[in-house]
Amino acid sequence: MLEQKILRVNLSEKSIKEEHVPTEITEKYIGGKGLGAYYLYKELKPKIDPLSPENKLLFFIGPLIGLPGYSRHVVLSKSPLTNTFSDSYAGGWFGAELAKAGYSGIIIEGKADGLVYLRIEDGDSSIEDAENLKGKTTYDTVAFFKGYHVATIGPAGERLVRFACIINDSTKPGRSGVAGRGGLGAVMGSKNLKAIVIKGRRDPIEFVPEVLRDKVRELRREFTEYLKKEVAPGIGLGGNLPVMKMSAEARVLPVKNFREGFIEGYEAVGEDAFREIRIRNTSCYLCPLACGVYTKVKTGPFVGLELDRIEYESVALNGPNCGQLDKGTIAKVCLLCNEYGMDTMSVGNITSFVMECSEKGLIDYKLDYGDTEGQIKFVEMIGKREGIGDLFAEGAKIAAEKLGLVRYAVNIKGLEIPAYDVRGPVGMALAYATADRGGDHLRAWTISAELKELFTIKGKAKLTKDLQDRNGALWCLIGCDNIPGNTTGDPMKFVDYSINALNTIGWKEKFGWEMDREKFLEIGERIYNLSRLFNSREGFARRDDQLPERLKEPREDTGWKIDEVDFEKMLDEYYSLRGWDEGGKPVSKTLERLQIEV
Amino acid sequence: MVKVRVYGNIRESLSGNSPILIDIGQRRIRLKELIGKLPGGEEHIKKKIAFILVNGRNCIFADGMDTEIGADDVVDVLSVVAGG
Repeated sequence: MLEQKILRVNLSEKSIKEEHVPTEITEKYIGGKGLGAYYLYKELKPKIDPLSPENKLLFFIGPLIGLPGYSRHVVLSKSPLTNTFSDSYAGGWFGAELAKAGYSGIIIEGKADGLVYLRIEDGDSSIEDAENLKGKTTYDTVAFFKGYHVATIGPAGERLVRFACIINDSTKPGRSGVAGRGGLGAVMGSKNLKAIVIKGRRDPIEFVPEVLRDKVRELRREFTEYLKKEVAPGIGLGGNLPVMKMSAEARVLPVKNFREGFIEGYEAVGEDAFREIRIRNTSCYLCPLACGVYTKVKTGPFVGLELDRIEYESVALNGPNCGQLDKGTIAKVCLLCNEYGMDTMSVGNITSFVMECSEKGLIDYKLDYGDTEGQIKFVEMIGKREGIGDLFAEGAKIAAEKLGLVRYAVNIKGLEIPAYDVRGPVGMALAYATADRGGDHLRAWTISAELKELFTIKGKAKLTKDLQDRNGALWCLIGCDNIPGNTTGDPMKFVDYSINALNTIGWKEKFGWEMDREKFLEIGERIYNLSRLFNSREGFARRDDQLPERLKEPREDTGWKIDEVDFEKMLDEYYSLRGWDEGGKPVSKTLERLQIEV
Repeated sequence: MVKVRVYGNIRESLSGNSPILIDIGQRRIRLKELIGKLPGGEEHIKKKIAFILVNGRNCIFADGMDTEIGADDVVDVLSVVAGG
């Protein structure tokens, strides 16, 4: 789908317009993250309040939608949690439905007077009253719109919890999706937009020129075989749950607010433990992998509880990192997060922060590690913004600054970090610190690729850069992260498949040149520089590309540490390779090379 | 004695022992030489792939496998975690 049509919805003016993405913009940024980065940089005024009507909320899909492995969508905005550029990806069926309705993206502007939802049905769209949905959970909202695919916020988004998320397809038989990170659900809430509901009737293959359709059908078959043979064996139970055992045994599993890296009995919340309560696996549109893990708790205080998806990060951060080893409790916490519409990763990280402060008597609130009742109550207080929950609904960074407890809040640029302690595998530390949306592991998962040159710092900065560029390019197509992340073969094979697919759907016919690896990765680099430029314009610089205090301290169990001199060495090399100045800003020569117009 | 702590699946391939104490006397030896003294040593580590820390600091920031080790040092050998 290289002809890209988007919907521009202004909630203040109650207007909906269709517009086409200019051909030269598709050629430079392809789709997905690329288009999102382009529109955000071009259209947002610097230094706006992310929760003001001036901010915009963007939804995009990629041009390969209709092929297995590319059905995800991205939500982008200026984040209220980090004040940075923010992109968050979700699986499920919502993105495909947007394509079926004829659109590649939606740009939401302004703010509605009261709570509304956006209805999109093929060529017919409208803004509708949603007062009856006020306070409804994400599950209730999705269930309310029968026959539609729905992306919605929950009560946390309405209450502007800064790590509120946007959830789609959560009561459908297929895999649900969560645009979890960065608080984009709060941006949606700030616009009084409860949900986007879509019903489309076209097959995405209709967007490919008729003469190319047989080739695309062949590509679908080829992709399906590739996923079954080379990726499915690496998926395990799904939800990245096999990582629990590896993290624990390698002693990089966060325990008690990243103070330690191992906990006895971790198996109680490992892959096998969740396999015991798995009901079924679910899949995204057209995908044969079925990595969604649907569970039903069999024992304990939450017996009978059903949860439509569970992931390693959610388990690790709300489990061992909170001293919690009851899988039923973790499932309950995740269910609450889903109902309220909150990022499970931020919630787990913030809960462990409060537990440590409570243990040390630094706050006037009692919450012990492993306290099931207290943990659940705390999550509900955040979702409702009640009592101390109101402060922590602002995110770890803001709460810690207000309390004078920055040392205990494990975040980078305000984004609570994922569930890997990087004081051992330090290549990841650079990846966390230079991620464009704050502390994040998905921009560059360096660890596997470090294998070739494990015992030297040489090449680690380049590795981080290359992976960020590769993923930047793949996110233009919104290829699933599970594919390069879990393949049993070479991750670059997915890149080559993607490039071949772009050519098959008519890239050369449209732009007069054939996509190849070099050009594809250059587009990724262009996008990474554009998101960096966005952040530089917001005032972010080298001083912000830093690790949290906790990761600079020796670990309590092993003494592992990253000292600042070591880290700065990697950062220097990284900036140099990127063509950024010492402060971390892209220099004009770099922007010229990448044809980025400021 | 140098204390070598081994984690994850690498430990399984090294007879399940950890920590392992290696007597190097008063000498200072290179990290690769020390690893070579482990049962199965270097070959196991290459196969299983590891991060190696010396006194809690990743050896990549020192001299890699040429980092000098003394009797009082603690060496940690971690297996690689892949996921996301």
